[in-house]
Amino acid sequence: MLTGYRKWSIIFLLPSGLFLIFAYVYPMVYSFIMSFFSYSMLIPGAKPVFTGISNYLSIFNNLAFLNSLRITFIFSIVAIFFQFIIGLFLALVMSANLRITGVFRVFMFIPLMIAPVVVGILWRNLYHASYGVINFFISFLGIPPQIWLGSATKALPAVIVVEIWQQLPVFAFILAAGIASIPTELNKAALVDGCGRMRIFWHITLPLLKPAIIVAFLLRIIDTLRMFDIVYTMTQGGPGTATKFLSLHIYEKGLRFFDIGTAAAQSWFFLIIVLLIEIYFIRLILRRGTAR
Amino acid sequence: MKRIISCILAVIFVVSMVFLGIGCKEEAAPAEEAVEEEAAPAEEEAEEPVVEEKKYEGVELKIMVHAGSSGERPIYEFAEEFYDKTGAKISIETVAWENIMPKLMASIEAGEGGYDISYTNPEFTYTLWPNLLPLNPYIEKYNYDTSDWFEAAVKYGEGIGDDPDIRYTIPASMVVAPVFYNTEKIPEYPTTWEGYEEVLAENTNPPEEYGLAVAGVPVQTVRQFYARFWSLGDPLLTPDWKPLINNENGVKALEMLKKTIDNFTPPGVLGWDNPDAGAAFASGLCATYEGWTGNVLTFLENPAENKIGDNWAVAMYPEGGTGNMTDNSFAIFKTTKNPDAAFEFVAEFTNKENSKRWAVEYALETPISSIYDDPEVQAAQPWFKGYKEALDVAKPAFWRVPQWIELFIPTGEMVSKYLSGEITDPQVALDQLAATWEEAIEKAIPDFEYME
Repeated sequence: MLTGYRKWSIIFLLPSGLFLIFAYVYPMVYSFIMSFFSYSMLIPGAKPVFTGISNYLSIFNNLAFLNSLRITFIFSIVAIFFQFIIGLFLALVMSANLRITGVFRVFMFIPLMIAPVVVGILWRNLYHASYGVINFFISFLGIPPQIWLGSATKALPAVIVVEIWQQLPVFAFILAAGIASIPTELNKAALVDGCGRMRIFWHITLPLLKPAIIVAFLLRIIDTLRMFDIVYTMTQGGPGTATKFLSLHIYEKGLRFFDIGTAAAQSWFFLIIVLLIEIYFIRLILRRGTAR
Repeated sequence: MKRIISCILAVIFVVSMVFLGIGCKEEAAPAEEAVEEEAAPAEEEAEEPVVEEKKYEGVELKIMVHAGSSGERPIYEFAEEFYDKTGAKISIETVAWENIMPKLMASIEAGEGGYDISYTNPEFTYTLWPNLLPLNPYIEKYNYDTSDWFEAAVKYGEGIGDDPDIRYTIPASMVVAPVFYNTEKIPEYPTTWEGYEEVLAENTNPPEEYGLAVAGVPVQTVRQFYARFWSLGDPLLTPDWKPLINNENGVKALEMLKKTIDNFTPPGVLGWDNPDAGAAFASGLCATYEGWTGNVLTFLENPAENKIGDNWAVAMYPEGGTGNMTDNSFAIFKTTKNPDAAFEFVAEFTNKENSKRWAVEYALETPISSIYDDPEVQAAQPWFKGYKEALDVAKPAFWRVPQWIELFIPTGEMVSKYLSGEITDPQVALDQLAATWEEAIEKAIPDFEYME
């Protein structure tokens, strides 16, 4: 028999539990099952046909998928690298207790508050080859007008810049919070011992900041790998397939071509890759926790 | 302390009751007035005419409308008129093209709670036809006139699905992308590709002016490529569904398009979408525009954006070329509880009188051929003359093929790959495209011959 406390716990948890089952668990299980079927919903009267793991095996021969996977990883790695470097610098500035820190923090938040679709449209215009502001500014440096989004080589870097601009505050604020949590006694003791600022940074701040860095990486990896809205509004994956991220590829397979089995298998394959990366980072966090 | 709190609560309670009472009284007042109002006509009942109940009083029709289509505004206007006339309430949901198929599929799953009518491209019906109402019985019942339709509107609207005689859609507008040109810069529109390139070259003086404005994002490049390919005389596929796109004419068409884009368009057009191209033409930056009409008319009709005044006209592509034709059609779902009301809405919206009205007021490109020759329509929309010529040669891509989108979108992607230099050999690009097409067709080889 359930005790009163346990019984009421279950009753109160039931609505949210049921919601989770219907909204998350059921679709995930269904998509996993569908990944073993061949099913094109575009064909009238078509029924799912069990094909085993062939949808998964076909991924390795699918050049379009592999190309999208490559583009997605390039985007994620480059964007996160620059977000980390610049974010760390900004976090140090914010932690310096300068007079402008408060105003600086507010301005830092602005990109985060803009909807991704708006960001995409905004930057599409900023990058415009004829009337874009970016070409106007680089002309002062003597650089001729560039084709940004219409160029197979510059479109991806252009999208990476937007991602860095918008999500930089996430890195900066997480790292600033991490810096704030470092006991000031350590820095003071190091100063008394005659350590310079750089030495304190390399040997005290950075090592103690590791948990915050790992958390920031974890969050940003998830976000960058599933990038969709900004790139969709900026380039629609073009020119050619220069910015066709995996999320766009899978969206096209699933919700334009309605090739449900293939799209499900590709989603699960991608999810497993992301999970492996996440598990690696979570283990890093846990290892640090145990070491303490 | 407890006593004080109790007193305060009691006061709050009393005050709230007083205000609540006032609120109730205010609300009650109209009810009394209503009774008085009802009583008044009762005395004059003998003199007042009996109000007839409207034909579809209490009926509600849900319509999904292709967002941004030229029919969107007229449908909103007509929905109110239809309500006034019949009592049928029309609720409209506009949906972006990208979301139309998922929405329609979800609606079908919803059954009776879903849409009654959809207004979008007929290509979606190649998949959805088993869920649509065959309209032939209603066309007969209501004596709906289709005799004056363009041949393409008749031909490509029938035969979707199993039965060649059944029609599932009623078109309200015929959509093809013609060429808009600046009549000041191009007094005489060329009829050959050679002449076309010559006028584009004459009008290209960077950075002040360019020959051509086009939307260059992948999906928008399809029609520019087809226009050149089709003008060379080949169909896209053989009757037994083998791709012809990678033949020598395909290569020639792709090279023609690349030459045009590289030499006569403003920098960065491969990143342009339709509004960018429309604005570039209307601003006078470009002498011609290849694309959908709505995307440029928006700018031409806006005095703040239009820098070329009335100095523009519409023509078909040189040498009989045409982009892929489609239309915006009404379809009625089998699950509708009110098929007659739904058909009457469609029939009245698309009848000759209203089609002319929409053409004059909203530039809706009607499927009724004779309207294009109507002096009043020509006065309001002088460009209809050239548009009619473009419609006369227009043809759809992948007619009746449910997996049409799997053939269409990779075309744009492959063309864009070649135009952007991602693939440098046009033959390689087209061979890859042909392989993609074969794979898509293999999924369900149609049991009828391919035709255009």
